[in-house]
Amino acid sequence: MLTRQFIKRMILAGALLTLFPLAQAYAFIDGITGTSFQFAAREGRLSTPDGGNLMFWGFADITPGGRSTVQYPGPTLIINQGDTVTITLANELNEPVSMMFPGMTMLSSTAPVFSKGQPGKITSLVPEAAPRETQTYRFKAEKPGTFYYQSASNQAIQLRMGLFGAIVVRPGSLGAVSVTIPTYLSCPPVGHREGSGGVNTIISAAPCAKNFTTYAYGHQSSAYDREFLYLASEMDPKFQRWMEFEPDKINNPFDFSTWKANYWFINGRNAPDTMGMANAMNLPSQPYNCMPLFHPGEQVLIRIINMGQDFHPLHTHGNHMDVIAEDGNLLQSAPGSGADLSWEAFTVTMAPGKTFDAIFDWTGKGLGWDIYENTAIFRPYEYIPDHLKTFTPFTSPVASGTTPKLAAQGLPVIMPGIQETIAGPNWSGSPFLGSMDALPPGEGGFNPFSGFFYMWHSHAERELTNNDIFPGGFLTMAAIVPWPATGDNLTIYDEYMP
Amino acid sequence: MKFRIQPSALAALITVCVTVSLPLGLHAKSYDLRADTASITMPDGTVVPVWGFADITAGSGDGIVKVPGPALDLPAADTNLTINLTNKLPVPVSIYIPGLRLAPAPANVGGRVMSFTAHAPAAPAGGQTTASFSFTGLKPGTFIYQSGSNPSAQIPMGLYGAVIVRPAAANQAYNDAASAYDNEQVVVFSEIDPAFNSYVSSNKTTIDAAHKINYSLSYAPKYFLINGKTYPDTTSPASQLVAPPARKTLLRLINAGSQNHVPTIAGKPVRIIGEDGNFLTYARNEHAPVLPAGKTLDAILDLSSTPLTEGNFFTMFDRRAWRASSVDTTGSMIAFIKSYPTAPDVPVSLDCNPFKGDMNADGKIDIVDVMILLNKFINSTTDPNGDVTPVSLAGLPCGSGTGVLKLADAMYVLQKALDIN
Ligand SMILES: [Cu+2]
Repeated sequence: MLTRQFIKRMILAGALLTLFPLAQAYAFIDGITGTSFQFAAREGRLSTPDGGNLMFWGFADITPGGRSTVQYPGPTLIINQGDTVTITLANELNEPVSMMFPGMTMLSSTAPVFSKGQPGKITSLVPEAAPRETQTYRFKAEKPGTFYYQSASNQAIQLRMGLFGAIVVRPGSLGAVSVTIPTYLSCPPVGHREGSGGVNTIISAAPCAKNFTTYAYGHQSSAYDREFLYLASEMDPKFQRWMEFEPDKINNPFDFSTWKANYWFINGRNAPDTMGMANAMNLPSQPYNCMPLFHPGEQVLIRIINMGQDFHPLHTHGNHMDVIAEDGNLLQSAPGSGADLSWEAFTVTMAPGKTFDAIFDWTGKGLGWDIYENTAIFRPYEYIPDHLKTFTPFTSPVASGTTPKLAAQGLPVIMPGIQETIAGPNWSGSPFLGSMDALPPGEGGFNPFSGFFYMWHSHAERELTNNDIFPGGFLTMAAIVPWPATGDNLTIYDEYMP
Repeated sequence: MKFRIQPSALAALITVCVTVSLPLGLHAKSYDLRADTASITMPDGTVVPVWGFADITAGSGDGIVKVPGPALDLPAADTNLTINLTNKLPVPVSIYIPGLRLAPAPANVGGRVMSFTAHAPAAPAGGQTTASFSFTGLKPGTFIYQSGSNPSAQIPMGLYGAVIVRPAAANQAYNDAASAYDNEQVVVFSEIDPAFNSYVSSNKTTIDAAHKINYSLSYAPKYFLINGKTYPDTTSPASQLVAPPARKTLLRLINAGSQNHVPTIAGKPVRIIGEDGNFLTYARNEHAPVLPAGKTLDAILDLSSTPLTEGNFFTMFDRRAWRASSVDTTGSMIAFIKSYPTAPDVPVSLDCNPFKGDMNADGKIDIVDVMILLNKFINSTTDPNGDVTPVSLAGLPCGSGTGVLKLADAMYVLQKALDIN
């Protein structure tokens, strides 16, 4: 086992330097908190992974102490149910800009604006900030959930340019709620998070329970361990360039019937940048990534928002997701009943201006083999029948390329010889979760945990390109990160999986 | 508008009429429709040839060709509908209603299926043909009637309209108290590509070697319509939708176009209670309901918790934000819902429209209007158009309803003249 352990550590060390320098940003939704914000609307530039560079209009958080850089999408507001929020918008663009907050109770005016009262000259659906002026918006967040803000001015242009952002409203505390774990799963770790102790020693008889303290809505049916944002948008580079370079926009207008997206974004980035680190220095105006990392059995909340013009089918590999809310409303048959009207889907139609919340989890249930390679002990949330069915201890490594690997387990993998293999950067060398094996020299390195990777992406396959270059676009990989095993360096998990 | 102050009394009246005059199930509403050519003028002056339906029912029809066609609004509890079609178009026309039963009888032209049902043949020059379509066993809901012949050409040309089937209970969309409403509005979404319409109206729909059906390849709508009007024509008082404060308004949302829309009301979610003519046991609260082509949704704009005195002017828009040109908003899918305090709920009805303050009615608010208002104020002349303060919570110039002018009114109009908001 020395070789395997050695390779594993080597790869881990390398990966730490290259891929995950700001690892904390992978496991929660980045955003700004508070109840009073100052925003600026201004022009910026974003990068696309094909080497492209497009002008956009976005919001910048110019609250004292804020990031102050214009960004795509705008800053994610993370606020609490019951908050009264004030946003002062300073407009640095050359046309009026405004902000609307669908689903919020507006405390500032909602009257549409017609320039000099001319019925044919609507400029905004709510009061706006004229160029170089400010406008103040106030709203009360009466309901928890997933929402957004967007410009309500000249929407055909300003939405395509990027004047939007996400809002997360957290519910009041329910306290810790205990949820019984199904008897076919092994028990959750004590204290739940890595580094809190005891994750390696769980061999306990079902049933057992788990305490949740985080909820999307004020009900235990919306409990989650980790949350990730999927904010969709798209761009037609032809339009962005017209906006940037056309000197006479009046006499050479853009014909929107010819608008056709060729870039698709998740949280403001195209694949593979979606999977880079948050706040990457090479993407100064695109601070948000989208790289779900989670352990088997964890409840993963996916907050889904479409800020584009087109419909996007969001598809999760690995399992179905359970859609529990729509437009910030828990799907319940009666108040307090919980998400009893939730529905399962492997594809959710992201509609323009619409939000969904979905819960995803993965345990390997029913795969038919022990995902952890015949370990003697249970790790948390293992599917017990598969673990028991395949438990066949072995004492020495089996050379790759010579023998069917652990044929007794029914996992139909015959490893080719290492010289005949081209490894993807996420390949750990082993088909088992948390297990590494020999890799060709220079290969691998993007999978320090030996996790499983599932593509979560738009199922409109054309949207998996960056201006005709595949792969790219609306694509990211969700990583199933194994629960740590005895001997694992828990501080590494702490760093990546807060 | 079907808004009533005392629903219970009228409901009782309707129930009595219905039960006395005709036994349930024997009703058979009959409409005589004429399919004909017309033209409509877009706000930018473009004249677009259309095909539409006119209601020529004796005694009730006005004979005017409309796009959308006249709403076929059935009496309460009526379960049968007959449409007698007179066709004056140079192409075969039929009528079908997705969601209602109709024996399919596909008609072939030149070896291609060109109709889902028997049609009224192409009218000879100067003449007309006829056909009759009967639908039985109707259940309550919102539906679309449209041409079932060469639909890829004839529906974009304008041959569509709303069908409303009502339960016995008045002011309910379905046979369920949860579908109750005080006021209802039919809202039909569609699009127009003027080049497409010109092509089809010049009778290039004949199928022969010279005229393949190729016009739909380049279909690219330029005007996005709500109830047959596009912005800014939708600002006219006649085109504004109505949803009184403190009331529940049923919006019968119908997409008769070829594109998918997301009708959104700025600042107000709706409650979706019906879909494709089916009552939803569990309503969905949404601020961005999806209305794909050919679909209907019944949405309640619930203002029952809004004070009777609150004036609003809601914007309804397609969140997909399509429009023709980058230059201006003409042709956008934007409509308005006025929600004004109305007598006798309040002592005086208030006009809260955001265009108030245009004292000389020249279509814009400028310094001249401020001068006129000040002059009238000094001379104590009343003018409802200048009576703009106090403004409502939403920021609208509702005024006092008396027409008496104040200095504050002049200040407000000055603010509008300077585009301060
Ligand atoms: Cu896939």
